[in-house]
Amino acid sequence: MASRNVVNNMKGLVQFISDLRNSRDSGYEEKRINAELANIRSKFKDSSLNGYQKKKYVCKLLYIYTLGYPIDFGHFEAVQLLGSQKYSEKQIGYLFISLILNEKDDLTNLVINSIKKDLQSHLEVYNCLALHCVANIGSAEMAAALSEVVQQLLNSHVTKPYVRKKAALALLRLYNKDSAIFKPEMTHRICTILQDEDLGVVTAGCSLIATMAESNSAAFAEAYNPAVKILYDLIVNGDCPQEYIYYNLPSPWLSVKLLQLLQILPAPDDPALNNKLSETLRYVFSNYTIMCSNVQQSNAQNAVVFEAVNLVIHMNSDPSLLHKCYQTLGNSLTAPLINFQYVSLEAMAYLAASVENTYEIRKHMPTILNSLHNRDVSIRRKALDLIYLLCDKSTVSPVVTELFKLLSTADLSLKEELSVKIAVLAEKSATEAKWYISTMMRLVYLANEQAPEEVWVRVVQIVTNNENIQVPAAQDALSYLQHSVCPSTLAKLCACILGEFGHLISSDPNTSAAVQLDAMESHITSCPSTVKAIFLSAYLKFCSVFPDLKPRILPIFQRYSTAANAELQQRAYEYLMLASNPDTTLLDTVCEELPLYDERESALFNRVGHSDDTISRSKMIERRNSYMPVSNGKASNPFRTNGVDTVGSSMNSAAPSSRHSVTRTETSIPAGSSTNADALYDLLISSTNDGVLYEDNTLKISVRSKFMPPHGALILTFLNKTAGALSNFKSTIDPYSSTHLKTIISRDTGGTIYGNDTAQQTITTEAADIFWDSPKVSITYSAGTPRTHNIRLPIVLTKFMVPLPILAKDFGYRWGQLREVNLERRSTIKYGTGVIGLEIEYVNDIVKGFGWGICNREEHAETTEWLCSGVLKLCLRQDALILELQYWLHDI
Amino acid sequence: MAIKYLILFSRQGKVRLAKWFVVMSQKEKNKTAREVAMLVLGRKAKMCNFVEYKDTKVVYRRYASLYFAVGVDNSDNEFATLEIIHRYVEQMDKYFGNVCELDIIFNFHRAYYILDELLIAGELVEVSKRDALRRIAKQDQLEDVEGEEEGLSRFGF
Repeated sequence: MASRNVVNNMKGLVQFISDLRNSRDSGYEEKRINAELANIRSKFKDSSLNGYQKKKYVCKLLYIYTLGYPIDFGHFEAVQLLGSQKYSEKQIGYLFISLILNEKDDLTNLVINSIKKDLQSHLEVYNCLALHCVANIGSAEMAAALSEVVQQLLNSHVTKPYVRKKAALALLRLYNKDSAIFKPEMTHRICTILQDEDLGVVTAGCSLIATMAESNSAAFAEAYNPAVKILYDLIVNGDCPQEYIYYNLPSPWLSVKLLQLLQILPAPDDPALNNKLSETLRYVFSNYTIMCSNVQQSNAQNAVVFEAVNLVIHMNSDPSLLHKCYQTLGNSLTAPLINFQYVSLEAMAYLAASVENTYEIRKHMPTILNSLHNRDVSIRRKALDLIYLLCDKSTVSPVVTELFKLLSTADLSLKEELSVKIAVLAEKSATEAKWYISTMMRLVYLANEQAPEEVWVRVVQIVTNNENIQVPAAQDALSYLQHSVCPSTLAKLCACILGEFGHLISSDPNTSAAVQLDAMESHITSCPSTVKAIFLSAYLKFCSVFPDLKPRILPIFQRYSTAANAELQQRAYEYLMLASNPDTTLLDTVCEELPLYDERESALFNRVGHSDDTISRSKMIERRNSYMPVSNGKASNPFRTNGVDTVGSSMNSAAPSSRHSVTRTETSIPAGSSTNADALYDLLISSTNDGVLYEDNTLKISVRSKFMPPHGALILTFLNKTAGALSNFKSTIDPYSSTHLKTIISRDTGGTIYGNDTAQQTITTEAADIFWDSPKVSITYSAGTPRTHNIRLPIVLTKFMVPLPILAKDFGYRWGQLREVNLERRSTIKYGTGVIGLEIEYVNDIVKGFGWGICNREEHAETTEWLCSGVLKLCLRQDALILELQYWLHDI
Repeated sequence: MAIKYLILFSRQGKVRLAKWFVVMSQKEKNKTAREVAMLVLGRKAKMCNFVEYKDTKVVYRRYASLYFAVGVDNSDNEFATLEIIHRYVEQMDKYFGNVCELDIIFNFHRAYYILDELLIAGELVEVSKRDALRRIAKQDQLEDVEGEEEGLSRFGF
């Protein structure tokens, strides 16, 4: 079309716009607009307004709206314009509706009738206006009222191509609003759109199929074949009408759409078809990667190339094509154009999450690390995402160093994300406890308040749960507090650690309790009150461990008991009373050591999970979840791994009482305190299937269990130890959060257990997938007074292990295989200080009790070594596991 | 390739045209438009044309005094989106004859009509060069005829 001088023939509008443009300040603009709004409002009251005038005023409203002012009238006039017989008036009416009408607006119902009329009109220009409107603001109500008419337009043979493609997209919008409009019998019809002669119709059809297939890919499987064909004809044969050639390329958008569609549809098992697709992709890699000087052509080429890369990664089947991907991405990464670097980093992240072996990507590590310092934040972010995916034990140290460099210069928006990622990497890939703790301290120091709460809280959890890092943690905490500057978050962390573990380093005169106190005192006055509160708690703990320091500490409590902050005041006053009481029983109870944290929950990992969601494709997350234990909420802590962890905790807590009691579980136990119940429980999960689960003066519960992974059955026997009856006896399985373990009571007790009588109950269980928490049974009964017990059932993951010894000579090889894919975990468990070592046979029993098959056992002077293997059998998965356990008789 | 929104704004951050393919309240729209404009205007010339904003990716291009910013899904094809913007600019250029910011200000409704021929439901509707402009030309003819009628009726014919 020849260019023309476009004249706006609404004079009043032009004048109005000119006026506004000439306004010197926003005050004038606002005044002018308010005057105009008042004017239009009064005009609209005049019922004799003709179509042209209405159009003009509605158009003015639209202009005001574009400037960002709210428009709360004119809707009615716009709806009237919709019904006009003049195209230009109708057009403005539609423009107003689609810009200003919110889909939640009540008026939508009013306009639906007009739209329907226009959809059914014999004038195509009217059809188009209505279709634009449906496609742009279609709502669930419109889906119900209009989807049939839209489909008629789409399917009718008399519909012109330019109406058809709009109908396809309008249907897409309606489907997005209400997927119920989709009926299975529609699929074939929709797939035939791909055979249309008009490439525009094919492009729109592609979008429609891709959207519908997203949630229903199998139904659209038949579209795969034509999609490959069109792609081949387009790209390899160059079969494309002249008007669809865009800068020498046959319709690049259609190519991209088809490549996207092929990632959604299930690939059929058809070698000829696959060859055709491979040939097309190869053609793209060799012909579309040629550099060209025209920006448009270069962009269009690369749109196709990178979509081809996505498809190859998605298929992940042809090594030679994957190789081409590596090549392409490598070249783009070092390309001078920054857009290429961005897209290349993004594609590499997708690749890193999809392939097992990331060696080819790691080759570019120096460039990627360099990108971390690019001055464009977009690039930095992409590089960070990629590095996070690539990092493992071997690279964690240099990577974290590099990330620290970035942290000190990063802008606020990136700091939070960065600090979470450093924290997770340090925890996930740490090889040395000391390195971990110093890294985290430094992180908290540098990020301070930009690091979310979860970061420092997580450090406290890990230190509490791991004896071997408590001493270095306390040392580091002290030395940070000795600096004159200590950011508030770090101060919180340090105070927390010193309060809890400061006594571990107090024997050294350089780090004595008094020195620690000095260090804390130098900061307490200057920090915010939330931090002061933690300092006060640390002081209180010092009062309990070092009573000599009370004369120094009590005045501090005294001082803060008159603090302005109410919370602080109350805390200080309570502490003062506690600490000055000559009887220290209460104080000591309050200051007892922190109990171990539940290992399986780290809020930090959840956070990473969320940020993953936002940075990556849904497919990528699926892949990532499948082999990176990070985002599914399970902590893969380097200090204790889950398999060994259970052994460890049982050694720690159960062993003192059970060293001699393996064979005498039935001995009577005094009134069941909770620790005692824990010991009994630990025994049941580690060594035996039968034993006492709970006992007090009234009731004794013993259990017999049998596991045939992935199923298990438990018989609970309740013994009433009293002479009176236990009435209303009821037990229920606590509504259990994990969907991975199904536990039901299959046979219940009668309701009353008479004096000295027993009752039995059968519980069956089935493990679908990895689970971490044992189910609990809640028992209530009445023995004069109502009572409730919540008892953990001895159902743990290791109960679903089956011993499967492998040959000792194969052991090393298998281990190496798993290590390669980063599935190795190491941890050290201390058995506690001052306790004589366990008997080797006892350890042996525990290992067997956890379902390991022992492949080899070697005894040396100082150590004993077990090589074990087993299979975890669950309904949904079976995992082979191997374990190497070294046991030192003496402290090392 | 679903586009969530397209915003045209000047170097001073004044919005010239905004099209939303997702449902948002007016308040959210204004906020997004303002923030996206600030984000893009804050970037230097040699930086890449993609920037993350909340959970979307903004693909933008500058033409003289006017910025075109498009919000897409994170997994969307950046280069293809860049060329959609260019295609829109080309169409306007052909229509207005060497388009400038003023054309878009004074004929903002036409800029919307041209966009409607290119993008609906956030998807590309027309990829052929000629077709879209043919549609617009036809619309203009209708308008002209109607305009003449109006003119005549105003003079009492």
